[in-house]
Amino acid sequence: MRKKLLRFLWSAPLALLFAAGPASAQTTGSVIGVITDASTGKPVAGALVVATSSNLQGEQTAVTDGSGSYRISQLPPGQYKLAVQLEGYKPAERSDITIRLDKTIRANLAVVPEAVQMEEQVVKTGIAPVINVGSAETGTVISKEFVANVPVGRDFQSTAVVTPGAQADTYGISFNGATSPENSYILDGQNVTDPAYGVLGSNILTNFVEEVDVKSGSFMPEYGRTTAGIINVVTKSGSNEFHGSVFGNITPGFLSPASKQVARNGEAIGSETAFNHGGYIADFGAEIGGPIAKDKLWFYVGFAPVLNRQVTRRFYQAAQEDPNNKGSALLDPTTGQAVTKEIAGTSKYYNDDNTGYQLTSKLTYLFNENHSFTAAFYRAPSNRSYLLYPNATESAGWAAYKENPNDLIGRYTGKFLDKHLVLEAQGGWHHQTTESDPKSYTVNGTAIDQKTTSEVIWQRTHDLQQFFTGISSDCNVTADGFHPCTVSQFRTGGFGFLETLKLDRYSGKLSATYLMELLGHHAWKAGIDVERSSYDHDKTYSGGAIVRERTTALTKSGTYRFQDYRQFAVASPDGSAIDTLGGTYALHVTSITNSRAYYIQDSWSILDTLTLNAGVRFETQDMYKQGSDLTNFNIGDSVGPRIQAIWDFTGQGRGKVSANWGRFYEALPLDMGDRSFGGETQVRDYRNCTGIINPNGDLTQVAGSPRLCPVMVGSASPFGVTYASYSTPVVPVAPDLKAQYVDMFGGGIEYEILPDFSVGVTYEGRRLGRVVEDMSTNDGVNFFIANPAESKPFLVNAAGDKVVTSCPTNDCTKVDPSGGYSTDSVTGRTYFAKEPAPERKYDGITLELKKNFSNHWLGQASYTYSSFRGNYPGLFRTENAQLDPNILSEYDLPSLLPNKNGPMPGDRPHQIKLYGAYVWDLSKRLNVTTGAAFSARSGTPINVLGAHPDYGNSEAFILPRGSGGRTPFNTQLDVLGSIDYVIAQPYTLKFTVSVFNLLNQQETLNVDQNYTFDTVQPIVGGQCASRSGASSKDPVAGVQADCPDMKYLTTTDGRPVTPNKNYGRPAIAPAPTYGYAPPAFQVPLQVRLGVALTF
Amino acid sequence: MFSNSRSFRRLALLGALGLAGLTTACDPYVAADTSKPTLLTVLATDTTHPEMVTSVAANAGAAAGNNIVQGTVDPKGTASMTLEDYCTKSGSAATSGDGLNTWYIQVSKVLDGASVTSDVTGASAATTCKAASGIKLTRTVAGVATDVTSAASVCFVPTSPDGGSYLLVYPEGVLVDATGAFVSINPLLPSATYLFTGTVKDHNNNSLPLNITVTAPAVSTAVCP
Repeated sequence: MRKKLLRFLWSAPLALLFAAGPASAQTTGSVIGVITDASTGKPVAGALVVATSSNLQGEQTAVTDGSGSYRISQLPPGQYKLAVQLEGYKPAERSDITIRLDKTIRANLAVVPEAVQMEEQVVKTGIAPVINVGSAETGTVISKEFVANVPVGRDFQSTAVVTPGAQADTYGISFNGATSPENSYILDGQNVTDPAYGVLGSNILTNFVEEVDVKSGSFMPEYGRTTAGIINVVTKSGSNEFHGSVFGNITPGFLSPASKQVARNGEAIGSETAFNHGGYIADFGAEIGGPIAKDKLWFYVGFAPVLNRQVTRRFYQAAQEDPNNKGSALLDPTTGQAVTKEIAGTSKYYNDDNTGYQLTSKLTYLFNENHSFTAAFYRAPSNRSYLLYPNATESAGWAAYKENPNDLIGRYTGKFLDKHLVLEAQGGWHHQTTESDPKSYTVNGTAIDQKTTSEVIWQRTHDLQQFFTGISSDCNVTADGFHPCTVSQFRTGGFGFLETLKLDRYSGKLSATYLMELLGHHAWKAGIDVERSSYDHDKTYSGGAIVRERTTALTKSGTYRFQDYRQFAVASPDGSAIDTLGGTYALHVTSITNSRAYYIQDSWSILDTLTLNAGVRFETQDMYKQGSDLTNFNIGDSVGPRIQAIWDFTGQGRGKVSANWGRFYEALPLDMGDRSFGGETQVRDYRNCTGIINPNGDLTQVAGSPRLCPVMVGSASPFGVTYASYSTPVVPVAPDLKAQYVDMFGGGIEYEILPDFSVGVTYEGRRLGRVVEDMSTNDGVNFFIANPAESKPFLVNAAGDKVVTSCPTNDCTKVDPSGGYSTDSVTGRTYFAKEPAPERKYDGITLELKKNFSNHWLGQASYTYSSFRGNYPGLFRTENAQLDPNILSEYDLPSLLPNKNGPMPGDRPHQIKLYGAYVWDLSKRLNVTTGAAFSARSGTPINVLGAHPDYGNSEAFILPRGSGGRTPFNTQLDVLGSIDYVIAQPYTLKFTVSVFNLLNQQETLNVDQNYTFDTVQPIVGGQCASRSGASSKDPVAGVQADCPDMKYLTTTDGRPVTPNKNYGRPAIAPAPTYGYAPPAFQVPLQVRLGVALTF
Repeated sequence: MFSNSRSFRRLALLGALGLAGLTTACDPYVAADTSKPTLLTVLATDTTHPEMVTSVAANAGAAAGNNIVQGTVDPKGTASMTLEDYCTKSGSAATSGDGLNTWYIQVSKVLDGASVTSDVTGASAATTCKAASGIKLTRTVAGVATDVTSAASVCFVPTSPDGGSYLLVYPEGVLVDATGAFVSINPLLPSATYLFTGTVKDHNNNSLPLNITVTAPAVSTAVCP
């Protein structure tokens, strides 16, 4: 009897495991289990199970049912102790149970009858579980221990990159091939996703975070409005004791080595990141939480200024003439690039300052054990000013903006019906503002008012002295006609696009969870989730328009040709006149969307080893312009079923085989409402200039500004009319429009090979099933919103802005989303352009090892092999950083539809991620932590891109996607060391040193993918021998050799193309409108120093 | 480590199945198009109005705004087109049929440009391209045939928005000034019949023999009367 009892007790901790998750909540976790009689192994009914934790107000209890089962929900993440009380049995308890955010762990306990005499008086304490046998959801929980001991970023978003299958993209962290704006970001249960663009709306320091739950896929129906992953964050709360910290972290630039210079081949303006020249990244602040009334009312408040200074050095340089080949540039035999000499006295440092603060606060009130209320508020204003375009005058290149996200959240939780019914109600307000705030500058002694001066983009190659006075004689054109100082794609004039955004989202959620038994244990959950978002937008182009030089600027008649290619205006029906409202056609529009979701789901434990999770989510969404009678769309048929099956093949909770499938719908961001339904019309025209063109582009005083050159009239213009309208004030929407969705599916095998240490293999598949896009069948003149390759033809009125069902006046247009007639600009031939079906396929297999924090160490290692192919990227275009969710240029230009199928921007076949930490207890008062992170990953595909005459650069895939090759494989090692010294309980002083990129790897991350800035059409089906041409020393020659068709490439007007001499060479990736551009090279070694006093 | 060998066997079996599934799910690069090239369109244009014959009815119809002249295109490479007297047809065109001196021969896939032209840099209206060996252009007027291959320009244009590629032919070549600079494209000769023959190849060495006949109208004026 005793031997059997001990064996049973020994096995009991192994039954501590994750179980069905759906019954838990987005801000808390749950524990379930079975209480058994240790002497018989039979379940005991009526046992009282008590959960306590420093993170929990009071205690939460449950009584076991007839099967000995119990469930305690609504537990804030943290360390817990469970105690079992039952008459006739000895009290039992186990501690160190870790409740994770939105996870349910299983903790089975055995109690010993009082009559039994044995050494074991209580059940042994279990170890932290590592296998989630109750769910097939994929992702990672990032704990406070992980963040404290492993070198990771300072904000919660950046920590999400540790998740297998995750990687950084231009706008955040993406999962399994999806673009990051497809994610949903949840802060304390509230959706804090940017309502207009889908990016993260509110980011906060990890100091204020309790736990981050990263869901990379296949989550249950209570989650929605995403076709990618969810980053679910819970901030810290108070407790019955006062706890807090004062902290500071700084990454000083002077401890970093110099960055690798982005050498623009032969360009007269050089620039390089110079973080080591006075740059820094710093935050310092304080947090405190504690009781206002013990076990009744807790508070938590944190405040931290955040300072970030990046530095860019800009200088002029002169290319050297080849003495053996006069008139040509001297080339470096190693790099193949033009040899340049920096011009003395031209070096200047530009600070990119981003300053702000973060405020977080929370009140937690417990009415009684069954009812609680939480209120929280966040605010994080910031100002930034920086040199956005080094290849520009300061007036055109310098950007500045202000941001201010705020969140107010209230949440009630109640338990009813003897705790079988749990109700949750939450309401919140997310508010964020962004305002362009460009400063005024003086160029060549002339004050440039950024708001009234047009930006001019000089597409062709020009001498630097054409733009600036007083340039060194080193730049003089030589007797042999060699131009030492040339620039291309240069910007002058004003800043360009100016805007003020105000975004609001009011949200409310109500859910009910009901526990019942019917052929097993069920946890039913049903809920509604409503959101109303608005986007108030003021926008204009400085000086009324952005002017762009044509690559065919110098015409046969000796005139220069420019185009007003970004201009809010209205053209007359015959294209002969324009209304720009005094030259500055500013738009103000408020667009609104309502999103509603209803869901029901069940977690059914059919057998001890088999769990079936199933449910369905129904979503609706409308969108319209405020004040308009027209609802532009109202989608009401988005039904997302989801199912998971989990089999514990060990029968002991030590392993699982799981499979999942689900359909996930996107909530369309309001950018579409703003741009497609908000009256944004553009008018383009050509200008002919003669004589010297003054680059200042100042409307008010500079004669010769391209902006003042005469507009080409009527049929003399390449447009065929003086003013060519693009789009209509309201873009019609296909009547049968349906929401965009992704199917996620996969499965996995996981096995706990050692206590607390598991190994698993997971397959994840993603298929983009449907896309919502603005489309055009006449090369971007008229648009409509539809589902490509799915929407049926429909009629629009004569104005092209409204869908009609009949046309008694016979002046309507039939719109066929399957395709339309377009003109081949090379031949003038009309052809039928078939709109291709969107494709995006991701398949990835991950081998992962996980070790939870115990016995002084933690670890996480993963290797992911994946294939990511398709023709539709998601909600932004990597090629030019266009962030226009669902209104990208992807389906705007029938002539450029081909060649988009291939390896997608996020295709990295191999990804390795290793994280680990060990804590050395040197004494009771002193311990040392060592941590490390290592990552290795394949490069990303390189395209061969060209320009479109109206849309600009990077729009045409000259060759099939990815034909240029792939950026190099790169690795990075980060390390962390910290010392914790207990001054006197409870005061602990901690010093931390983190070294990022310890080996100072500066491998290329991004290259210039513009093969030419000329307007070209695709070589449909063009083949390359090795797909590595862009990796050659001379990438242009390399691509031409590898892809022989490129030698015959001509512009749309029949000229041989002028290749971009920087094609394939390292380049800073296209910059997001707000945020930081992905760098050309890995960021050099950085040292972060941290100090914190905690109590 | 694996105390439960049965469980481990199950794990290994399922792992093998999973790997097999993944292997089949992998999606390699799109394979090269190995189909044989076919002839789609022959188009003659003065850049303001095109006349064309096509083997693909849906590719261009009257409703689409093209001038489809009588004639035939056999995808195997034979085509025949008689250019219309545009003045007679419309009475208002700025140029007449002899101005349709720029021909685009569209084939179904990208060709090996070397089988079209020996000049890879001159694919421009401003210069001329030399026809590849084996390509021949013959002009017949009043029963007299003349080989005009050396005077003609034959370029290769690999871009086409709906697939395939073009042979760009100036059958009478271009007019250049004393410096060699482009002045204009020479007009067709009135009532001349041009025969374009040769064999072009794709990158897979698939051949497409071309035998294209284009007959110019009798009108020789540059401006309609």
